[in-house]
Amino acid sequence: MRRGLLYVVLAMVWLAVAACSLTVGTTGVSIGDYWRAAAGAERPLTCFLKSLAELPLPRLAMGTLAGAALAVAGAMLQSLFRNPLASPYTLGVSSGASLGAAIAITCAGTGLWLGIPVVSLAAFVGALVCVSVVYLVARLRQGQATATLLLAGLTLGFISSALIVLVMFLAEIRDSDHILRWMMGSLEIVGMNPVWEALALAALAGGVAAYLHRDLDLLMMGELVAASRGVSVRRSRRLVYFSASLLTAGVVAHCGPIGFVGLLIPHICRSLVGPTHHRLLGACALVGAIFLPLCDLLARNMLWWLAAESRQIPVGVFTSLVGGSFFLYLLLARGNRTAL
Amino acid sequence: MVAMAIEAQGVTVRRMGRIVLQDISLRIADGERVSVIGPNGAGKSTLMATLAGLLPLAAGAVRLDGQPMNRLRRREIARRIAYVPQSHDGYLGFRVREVIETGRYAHVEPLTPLGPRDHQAVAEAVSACGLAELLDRSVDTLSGGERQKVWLAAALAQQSSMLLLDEPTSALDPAHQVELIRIMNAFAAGGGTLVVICHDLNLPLALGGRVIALQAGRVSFDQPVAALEDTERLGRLFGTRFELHHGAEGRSRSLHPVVTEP
Repeated sequence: MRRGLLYVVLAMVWLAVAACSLTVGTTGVSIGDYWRAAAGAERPLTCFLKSLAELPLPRLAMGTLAGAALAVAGAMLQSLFRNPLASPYTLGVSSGASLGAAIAITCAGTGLWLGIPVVSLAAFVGALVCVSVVYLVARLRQGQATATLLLAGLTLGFISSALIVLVMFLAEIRDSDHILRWMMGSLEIVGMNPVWEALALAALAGGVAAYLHRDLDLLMMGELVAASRGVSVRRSRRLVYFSASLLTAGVVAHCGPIGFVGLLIPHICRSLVGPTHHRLLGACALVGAIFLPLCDLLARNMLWWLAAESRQIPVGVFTSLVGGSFFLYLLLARGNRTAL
Repeated sequence: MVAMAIEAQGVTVRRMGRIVLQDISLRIADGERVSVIGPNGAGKSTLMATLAGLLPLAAGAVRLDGQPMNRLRRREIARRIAYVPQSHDGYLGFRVREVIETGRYAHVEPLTPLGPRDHQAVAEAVSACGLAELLDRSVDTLSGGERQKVWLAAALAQQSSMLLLDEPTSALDPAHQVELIRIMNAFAAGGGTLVVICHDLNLPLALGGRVIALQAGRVSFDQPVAALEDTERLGRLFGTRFELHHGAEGRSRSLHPVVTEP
């Protein structure tokens, strides 16, 4: 009952954040300004809703979706690797995506292919290639596949980062600057199409996560225990790995790498609802869906509020600053009481 | 013919490139009590994990009720064999109830909540292990003996007919050892097949049944528990001398390695 209440409270907090996100707006341009701009049109309400659906709503929807997806992916990977420092980016997903985006920006510019931005498509392909290579490397070493996955992911992340620097070095200054900005992470999307694309992937991967909630509990207790209870460890590991990667890749392709959501939110949620995944995954989705739009609201208005500066702090930079500081606080506050 | 639960034929197992078990052949029938003994590194834990179908075989075959183990799904194996490994290094905030409920994994569909039969199985396991008071405690906060009972309860909740326990009483105080022996004996008395790796040679004496002794990855002897009274053979197996003591009323026996006083 108490936990049911928690979910209701979290849902209400999300509504409050969503309402603030829409009404406060961005760098001084609030929902009122949209209304005033539409007031002079022939059909003011249609015009108002259309303008909302163009920028503020997709931004809120993508923030909600990305926060939920990254948090759930983080929780899945921390359980799979039994490692509190695992996150959606540990496996090289973001580095692979960034490399794909960097190559696309340098070679193909910022056009569309089948209505999808080439950069997003390349980022998605980059993430999947990276994830597949990591998985194949791990398969070559039987016996310690989980540890190898982690190490191979980290290594491929480093290699991709080096290649990104090389691409930036070889690219023109303008492209190089574009790559750098892409890698800071942003929720600035236009229209709802990116949201639907990411939502389709998230629904698929999220469904797999829900299906595997008991497997995740047992994998967290160790592969030997999991197998002795009846978990087909190799199959579950593969499904967890690829669904978490898909959740992340769908988001990173459109938003760039947004750090710390997948690392921090599962830690907070474990202290709220405990480690069992039938509660944890839902809580992560809700808290992630609150955290990222809230960070975005603050990041895009912070400089406006403090110095009437119309530039926005990239949300990826903001989440890393806030998330990193909070994570340090958690570590210090909890001491050695728990590993997670 | 005796109903056969599990059979290993010419089993060889390699780990990290080294042969740990070589040409092992044994049968364990339904309802038997079997203790596995042997010095450190003899391959006891590997044998148990192999019998649980958790390790790939370099040669030979393990059959469960006549079916090759490697052709069975893990869920099917888990419904027939419950295995408690020697060490559990991760608890990570799980409550006692949650750990015991994982024993029902093989009996429930992935998206279905636990049903009345599952709750009944969990309640019986909790009652058998005397854990009713600890159900809402985090496993991290329990003592070693209490944790061992939790893992045993999770295995009992699996309602498998065979229980494989890897050194269940090591590192426990005498009271917890006696408590665990009581739980194991109750399981066997109910018709379950019990296979236990014993570090302490008094455990086979308390459980009765049969003893399989391993040495350097091979079966040294496989005989009724009375074979442990041959202390000279035990001495050769472990490389140290043993003494057998009888209790005052002849109702108990105990085996001890001989330690000379300084």
